[in-house]
Amino acid sequence: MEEKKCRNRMRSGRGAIFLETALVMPIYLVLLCMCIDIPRILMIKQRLDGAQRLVSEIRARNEGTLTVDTAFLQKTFFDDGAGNGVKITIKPYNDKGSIMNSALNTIQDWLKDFLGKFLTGVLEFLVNIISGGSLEPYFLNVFNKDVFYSGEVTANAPTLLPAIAYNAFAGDDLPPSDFGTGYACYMPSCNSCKYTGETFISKMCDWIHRVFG
Amino acid sequence: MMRALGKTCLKRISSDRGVAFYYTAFITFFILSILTVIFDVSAVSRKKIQAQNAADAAALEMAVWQCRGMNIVQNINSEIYQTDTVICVIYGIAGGMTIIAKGLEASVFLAPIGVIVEQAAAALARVGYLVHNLVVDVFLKNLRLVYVNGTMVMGYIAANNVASANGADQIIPPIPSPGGGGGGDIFSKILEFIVNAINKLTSGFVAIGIPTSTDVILKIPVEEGDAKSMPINIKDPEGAGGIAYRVLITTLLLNASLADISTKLVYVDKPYRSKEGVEMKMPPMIWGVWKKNDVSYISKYFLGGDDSSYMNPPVLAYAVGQAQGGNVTMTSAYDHEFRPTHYGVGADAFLISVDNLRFKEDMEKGGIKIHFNIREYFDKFLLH
Repeated sequence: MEEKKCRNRMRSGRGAIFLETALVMPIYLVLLCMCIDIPRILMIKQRLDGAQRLVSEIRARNEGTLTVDTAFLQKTFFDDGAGNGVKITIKPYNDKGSIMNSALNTIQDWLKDFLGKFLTGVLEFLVNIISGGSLEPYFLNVFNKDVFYSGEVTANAPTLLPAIAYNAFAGDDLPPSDFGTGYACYMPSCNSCKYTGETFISKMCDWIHRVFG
Repeated sequence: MMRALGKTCLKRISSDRGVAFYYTAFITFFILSILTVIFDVSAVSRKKIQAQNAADAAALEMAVWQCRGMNIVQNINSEIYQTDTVICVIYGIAGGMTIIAKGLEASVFLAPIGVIVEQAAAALARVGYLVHNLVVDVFLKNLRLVYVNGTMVMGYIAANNVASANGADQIIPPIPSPGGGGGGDIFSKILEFIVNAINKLTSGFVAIGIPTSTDVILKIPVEEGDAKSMPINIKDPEGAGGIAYRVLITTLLLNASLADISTKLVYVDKPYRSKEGVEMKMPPMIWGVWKKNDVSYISKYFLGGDDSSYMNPPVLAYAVGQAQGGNVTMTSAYDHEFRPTHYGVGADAFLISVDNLRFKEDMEKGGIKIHFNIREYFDKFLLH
């Protein structure tokens, strides 16, 4: 008797729409969440691009020192409705030397391997003395200061779906709810072009001027 | 059997049951397509931001190198001047000692002391001469030459370097290696070596820099010998300082022990100088980079239709950098802390707007006039 009733129910069209809606509703909800989350994540990543540029540029103009903090970046880039709940983190710096800088370091490393640390130091000291103190300020330091300062910022943003669903959008080695840009912005060391040392004679002249006016 | 199947199919189609699944499939596909387009458009605009960062960094790095070159040349000039001034003081002391020695030598009893003093004066002058030779002639002048002629090359390399660090794509793609390493004949080995060498040389070539003036293509525009240079009075050799210097050297030449180097004791340096008295503006350089772009087929359809020429348009970006400032006669207490004020105000690197560029659009040679509409090219290729 009960079995017959059940079969009739299944054959009947009554309630089918309710059942089908219930079945497809999760898909619609997931799509709805994605429609909100994905553009928001993309927007966050675009703003992170701007924040990264700012970080690297400030560092480039201040010999690698970042003169602003995360609160400033947060206020500048995420102080609106779309940035609500976003928490940004500045990743550890990964500065790079230019190819000339690396070449010089490679030569110095090779010399250290070949002659030993002590002898290389003695050699550099002697050449610096013979050159009147011009080797360091006018050659070694010029290339050593040609550095590209990095800026990399990530954001922790709440999402409607579990954040792990968007892992494809997150950068490498980040926790699931953090979003990165996947690259670091590099800016050249702008103030380094003004850097100068002085030869021994120049230092001596400076000292005489200071003492005797 | 076939009739029963047809009947079932007809019944399914005419029935409303399961229609929600068809709608859902269609709507899901539509929404995912829209999301794909949004994702691709965002990716393209982010690539544009990254390419812009790369172009800006390249332009800035080149300007930094130009500033560095100019500032160092200026500093080295100053160092040479300071060193030679100190050496002139040494020569002065030696000259004074020589005059005293000559006086002593005139007397019968003190003549031996006079000879010793004269030799001591000669030794002192030789030390000064040696310091000048080593520090000024061997190191400082050659270093200055390196920066005058090498700055642009180093700037090109470093600008490409920083553009590459910012993710700019290669302009010259690597040539596929011919392979066959190991068991190949000598010809294929040489070919492989050449191909690998070319790939290595061009692998970092990611940014193109175009100077807006021919002055800065090979060397920084600091001119040699635009100030007659002498120690003591570098700007005015005919003035009181210059005359004093000559008198000094003349007294020193009385010393017989210095006869072998007498002609070398007078030095007139021809310095390379950035312009004095006027704020210097280097000709700006335009830097261009590109990034590969790959959007999905759906986006290609929405964004570019089915026209194959719209497939994967590359993302281009350009930036203009310029070295500004640099004044050897002006000092400022507000200049960089690394920079002693007596070196003058150093040049600074800036990114400038393309509107600040002044192009030479007409060129005339041998009665033939050529018109370049550079702005039009800018609008066509770079501002898209």
